[in-house]
Amino acid sequence: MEHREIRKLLETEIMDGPERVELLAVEQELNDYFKSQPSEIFRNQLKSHLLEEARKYSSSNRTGRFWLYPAVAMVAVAALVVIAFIKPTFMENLPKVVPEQQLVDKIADTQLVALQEINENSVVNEPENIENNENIKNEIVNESKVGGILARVKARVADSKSFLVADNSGTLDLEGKGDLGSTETPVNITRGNTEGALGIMSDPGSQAEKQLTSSRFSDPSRNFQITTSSFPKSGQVKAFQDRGRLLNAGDLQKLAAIFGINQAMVLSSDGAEYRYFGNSKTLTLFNGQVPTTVYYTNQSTRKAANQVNQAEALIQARKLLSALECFNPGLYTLKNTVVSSENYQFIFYLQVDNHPLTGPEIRVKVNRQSGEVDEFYGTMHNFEVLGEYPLITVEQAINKLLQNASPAINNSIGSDASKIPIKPAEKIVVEKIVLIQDYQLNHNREAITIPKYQLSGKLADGSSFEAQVEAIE
Amino acid sequence: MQPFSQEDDLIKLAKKDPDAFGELYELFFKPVYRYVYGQVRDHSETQDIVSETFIKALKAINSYTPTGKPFIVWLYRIAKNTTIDHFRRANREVDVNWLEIVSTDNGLEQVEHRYWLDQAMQHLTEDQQKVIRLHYLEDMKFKDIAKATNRTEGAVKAMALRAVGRLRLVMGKEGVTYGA
Repeated sequence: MEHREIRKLLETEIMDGPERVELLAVEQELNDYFKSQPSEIFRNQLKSHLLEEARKYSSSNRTGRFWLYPAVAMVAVAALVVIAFIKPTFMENLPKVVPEQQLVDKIADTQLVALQEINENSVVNEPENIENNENIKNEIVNESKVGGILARVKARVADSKSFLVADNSGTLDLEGKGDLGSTETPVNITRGNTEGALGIMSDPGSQAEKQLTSSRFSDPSRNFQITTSSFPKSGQVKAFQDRGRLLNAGDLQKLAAIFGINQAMVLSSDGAEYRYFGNSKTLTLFNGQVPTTVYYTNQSTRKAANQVNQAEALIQARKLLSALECFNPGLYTLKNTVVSSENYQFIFYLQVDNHPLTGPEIRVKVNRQSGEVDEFYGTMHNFEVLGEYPLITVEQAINKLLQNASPAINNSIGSDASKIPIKPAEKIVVEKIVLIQDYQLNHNREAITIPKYQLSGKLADGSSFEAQVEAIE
Repeated sequence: MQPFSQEDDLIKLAKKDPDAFGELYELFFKPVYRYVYGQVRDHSETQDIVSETFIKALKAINSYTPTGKPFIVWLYRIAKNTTIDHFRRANREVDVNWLEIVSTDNGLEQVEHRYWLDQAMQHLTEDQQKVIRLHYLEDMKFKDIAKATNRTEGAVKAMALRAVGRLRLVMGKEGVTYGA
C-alpha cells in the first residue's frame, strides 16, 4: 500500500498556487522514479550477458569478413613483386621475419645491455635515490583512503628487496603476500579468520561465554532493524578459491604489449617480481603470488591537442580492461570515478558469480590531455568453484554475529574503521544489504572467497557502520 | 546540456567495440527499464522485456542510422514492439497509445525529467536522501522513518519538505519546469 505522506503534506502545507503545482509535480516524479527502480543484481546480470553476446556477435562478424584478408594479402604481394622488379634493392631492405623462438632468444640476449641502461636511467632502485624511496614511504603514511592501495604498491616498487608492505593502519605483511587489493580490510586478510577478515570480531570464547552472550541477544530484531527489502532471501551461492595465475615469459611479453611496451624490453627478476621499461613506461608485476599484482605507470610527455572527456576516458579504461580479460576474465563494474585536473581515475571491482568481489580493486587513471592510461593497478585471479551452499537468511546471519562472545561491528567503512562492541539494547538500523564475495586468505594461506552479506546503515548515535556477516552456514 | 550528449560517440564505438555497447547499456538501461515498467507495472515481466529489448538492440546496432532524433527513441521503439509481442503472447491488452507517447516531444521531456531528477538527488544531504528513499522505496510512514532514524516525526516531515523543495530548485536550474 502506498502511503504518499509527502504528497499529503505538500497538499496541506503549501498554499501558493504555482509553487504547489511544481512541488506536487516533483513529488509525482519522485514516486514514479522509485516505483520503477530496477534491481542492481538484474542490471549487472543483464550487462554481463549482453557483453558476452556482444563479443560473440563481434567475433562472428569478423569471421564473416575473413575472405578480405587473403585478398588484401594477394594484392600486397603483387605490389611488392612489381616494385622489386622495378627496384631490386628494395627487397634487401625489407625487415626480416623472425620466428617467435628467435625473438625470445634475441630479447634474452639484450637483457644484460638493457639492464645496464636501467641502472643508468631508472630512479626506482638506485642507491642514491634512497632519499626518494624514503619520501615515497613517507607519502604512504599520508595517503588518503582512496590512494591507499596505490601507495602500498609504490612502497613495494620502492623497496622491492624486502617486500615489506605498510598500509595506512600500520599493518605489516612480512611475506609480501597480503592484501594488495583493498584498503577496506588491510588487517584482516592475513588473519585467516573468515569473520575477522570482514571486521566482525570473531573471538570464539568459551562455551559459557557463548551461552551468556546468546541469552543477552536472544532477539536479534531488538538490535537490528532492517529498512530495506532489496536483498536475496534464499537460494544457492558459490564459494571460490583463487588458484593464482602464473604468467610465463610469453604471457609477460603479451601483457607488456597490452600496455604499449613493445620495444626490446627488460625483464628484471627479483624473486617473483618483474619489471618492464620502455618509453617512460614502467610495468611491474608481482608474479607467482596469489593474486598476481600488476602496476603500470606512464610518465611520457602529454600532447594538449587530444583532450578527452570523461566518456572517452572511460572507454579508454574499458579497452585496457577488455585487453586484459584474456589474463583476468570477468565482469568489471565501475564503482567510482575520481576526477582531478590531470586525470580521470576509474575504480572498478570484479564480479564473481554476479556478486561484487570485495578486497581487490582495479584502478585505471586516464590522462585528460592525451587520453592515455597514466596508471593502472590491478590483481589477476583464477577462480575455481569450491562448492555451492544454501544461503542463510539475513536474520540468521545477524544471529550468528550475535552468537560471538563479543559481538562487534565497524564504526565506519575503510582502513581507519575501528570495531565497536554491540550493546544488548542498542538499536542498529540496516539500510542496505548486498550479497558479496569476500576475498581473503584462510589459515592455510589459500585465497578464497566467502559469500557474505554486507550490511550498512546507522548506529543509534547517527554514525555510519558497516558489517559483513557470512551468508552460508 | 542534454542528458545523453555523449551518445553519438558511444554509438559509433559500439558498432565496432562490444565494450562500448556496455557503456551504451549503462547510459540507457534505466530509462528503458522505467519506460517498460510504466506499462507493465511488474518487475519480473519488465526484466524479461528489457532483456529482450537490449539483445535486439545489440543485434541491430550496426544498422542504426541517426535520424535526428535521440538514440533513446530508437531503443523505445524496440522496447515498445517487444512489449506488444510480450502482451500478445500472454493474450493481454496493451495500451499502445501510452507506448506511443515516448516518441513525441512530451515523452522525451519525461525522459529528461527523470535524468535530471537522478542528478538532483545527488544534491540532497545524506539524511534527506535517506528520508526520501525510506518513504518511496521502502514505503515507510513518517513515524516509522522517525523511529528508524532516531528523530522526531516533525523533524522527518521538515526534512522531507526541504528535500522536495531542493529537488525542485536544482531541477529548475537545469531548465526543468512544470506548467502550472
